Amino acid sequence: MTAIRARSARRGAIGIGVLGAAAALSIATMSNPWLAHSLGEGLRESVQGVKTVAAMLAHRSPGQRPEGALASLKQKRQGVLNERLPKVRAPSSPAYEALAGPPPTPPIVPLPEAPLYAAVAGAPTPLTPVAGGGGGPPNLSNIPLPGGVGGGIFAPPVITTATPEVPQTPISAVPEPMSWTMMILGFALIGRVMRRRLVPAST
Amino acid sequence: MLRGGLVLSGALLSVGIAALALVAAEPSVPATAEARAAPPTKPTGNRIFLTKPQLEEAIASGTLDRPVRSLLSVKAPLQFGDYSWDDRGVAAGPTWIRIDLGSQLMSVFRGGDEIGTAVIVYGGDNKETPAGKLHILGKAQDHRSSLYDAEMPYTLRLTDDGVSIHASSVRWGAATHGCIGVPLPFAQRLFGAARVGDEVVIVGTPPHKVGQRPA
Repeated sequence: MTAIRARSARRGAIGIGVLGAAAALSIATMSNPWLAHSLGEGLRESVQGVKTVAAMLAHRSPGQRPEGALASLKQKRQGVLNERLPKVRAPSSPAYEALAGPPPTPPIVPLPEAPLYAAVAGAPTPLTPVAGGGGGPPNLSNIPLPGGVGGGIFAPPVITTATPEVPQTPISAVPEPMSWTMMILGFALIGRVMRRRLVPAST
Repeated sequence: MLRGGLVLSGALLSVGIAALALVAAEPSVPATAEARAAPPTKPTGNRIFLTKPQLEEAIASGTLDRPVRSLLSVKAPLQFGDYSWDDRGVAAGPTWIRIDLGSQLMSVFRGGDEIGTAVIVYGGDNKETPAGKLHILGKAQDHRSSLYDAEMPYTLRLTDDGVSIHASSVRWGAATHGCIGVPLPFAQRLFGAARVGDEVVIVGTPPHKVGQRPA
């Protein structure tokens, strides 16, 4: 009996001691981060095992690069330039090709406002229309142009001196009463014929 | 009697550990402003400190060519475009770069501590990246390649014929014309940390090409 009591007392004492040590350890780790870190690292190493440096570096690697699946990051200068240039139509003449650049911008030609206005608005001097022009530019000889105009590669704007045409009568979108009558009569005729054909089949 | 002795020993052990913790915690509190401002001698952050057997094995196997104290702790494999940078608490020292072409990784060290790592892209089959010990010959923050007509920010030039470390689009299956491409934020940090003359060790190519620039 006394032996059993002594054994249980020993177990209880060991338990109390272990609990006290654990409590002290927890207090110590809470009060000292360095101790906590060291214990954590030691515990981690004991669980994971000691890795070699090569294994640690290999662990973070995305793997070796596959062969034959490589795409270049950059292109040669000429290729890049070709891609960056705007796509234009092929020049039709070698002379244009020799220009090697965008076409020059045409100079701004000021319009002769006052003489043209006088010509269009029915000035006292009658303007002669182009006779037999056949599509050619009208004669602008009697319109005084300001000096210093020209030098561009584009022709000056074509100014017509002919009398403007009178606009024709607009075509109405709604049919006339005659058209309505014809259409109604046509449908009636078709209906009459179809009805005549259906009557013998029913008897 | 026995019970009382065990309880007493447990209590003493507890008091001893607590006292030890309190004593060890004392020096961590800086007493003066100077001590508070002084940088810590041990790098902080999430790191793995190498043991002596680990370092000896790494040098013996050729993984490292010089003593290294700590590596950055990278939990998961890095993906293309990923990087890690942590130089908190790392004392000043010579910066050197280790590039492993086989594992497509770059490690930046300051002294014996790794401060950055990133996934890289490197030269293709016909434009292989030279291996060996190189040095940074020049720096250019806003470099533009005249040969390829491409932006190469944060360039660290390594060879006379233009092989450099610079920011690039780091993606799977990509290759360069011999340069080493790193993610832009990483390149920015590396550009700030590296100086002309710093050493760059490139490993991971066949031994007969070490130190030679392929034709």
